[in-house]
Amino acid sequence: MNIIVVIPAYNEEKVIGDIVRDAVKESSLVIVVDDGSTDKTGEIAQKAGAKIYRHTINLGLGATLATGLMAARRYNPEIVVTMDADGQHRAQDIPLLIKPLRDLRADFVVGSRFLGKSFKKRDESVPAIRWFYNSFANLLIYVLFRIKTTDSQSGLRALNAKALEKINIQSREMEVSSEFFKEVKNNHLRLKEVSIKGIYTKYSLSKPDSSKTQNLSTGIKTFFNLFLHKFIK
Amino acid sequence: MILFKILFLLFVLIILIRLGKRLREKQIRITNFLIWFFFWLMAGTIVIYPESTNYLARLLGVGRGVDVIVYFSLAAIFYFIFYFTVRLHIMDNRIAKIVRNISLKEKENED
Repeated sequence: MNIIVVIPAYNEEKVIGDIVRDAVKESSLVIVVDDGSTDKTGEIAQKAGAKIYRHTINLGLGATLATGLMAARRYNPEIVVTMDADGQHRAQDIPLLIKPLRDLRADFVVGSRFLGKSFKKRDESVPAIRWFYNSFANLLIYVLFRIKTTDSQSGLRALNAKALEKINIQSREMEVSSEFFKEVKNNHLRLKEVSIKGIYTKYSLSKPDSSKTQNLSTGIKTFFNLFLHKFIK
Repeated sequence: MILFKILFLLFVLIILIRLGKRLREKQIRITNFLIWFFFWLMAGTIVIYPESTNYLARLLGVGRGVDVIVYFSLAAIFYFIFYFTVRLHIMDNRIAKIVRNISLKEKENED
């Protein structure tokens, strides 16, 4: 099966090598989109076996994922998986993630860190603040797009060929996670969630999209951008 | 007060000259030129004849002429903030498109 893993990366030289090596084992091709890194992210990822697409300047997560999806279309994949570059996701979860696509039960699958887990029963590594941010974001997704999700901010997703063709990402930054749901809704795609384990290391928590650095202003900015995307093309 | 009027009128004059220069160099469109030209012309007139705003205030049912100016100025400022936010958003998207196309093209050439 032709499975492509897309990894958006910005200054991840410390971990990108291992991430790519693990992803290579679970896929036919790994595409790393280097979002204008100032370190050796691109070089290391290439040595680890990835195809590199490079942005000359830093654009943000949304724009990087959009480039990754466009690049993936060139190789006519049956399934595309997106995952974070900071080690938050395990490549071993990919077979589980893509199962609903293989069984033709879904067009778009989200790897959820919170599926079936209440606040008290959440994974030990999930910071409390992250749980609250995510709950609020989930509520927002429901209000804006009428889609129920337990992990609207997850970076681990899988798309079949139909979803890859239909989904058109416009976001430049963090609001891309929410935009995927908008696209699922607008294109009448079937959504499924699969329970995964989120890994929060000291390193991943230090990244800009982590709960440590994800503060109120990031949330407001994301909400504002989402609002703009809803009304401006 | 007279000093303020002179300084303000000088300021308006400089802006009008710069506007004319930009139009000559085709840096702005004629519609934009006309909007700004009349805006600054009006600002200059109000500074010379401040009592002219009282007529407008009476017409609109607002207390004083100066209040009309404050209300209109606030509305204009909010409009421009909105306008520039949207423009910035559109420009951001255009830059992203260019950078993405370069990236995809580069890889195509490599392959």
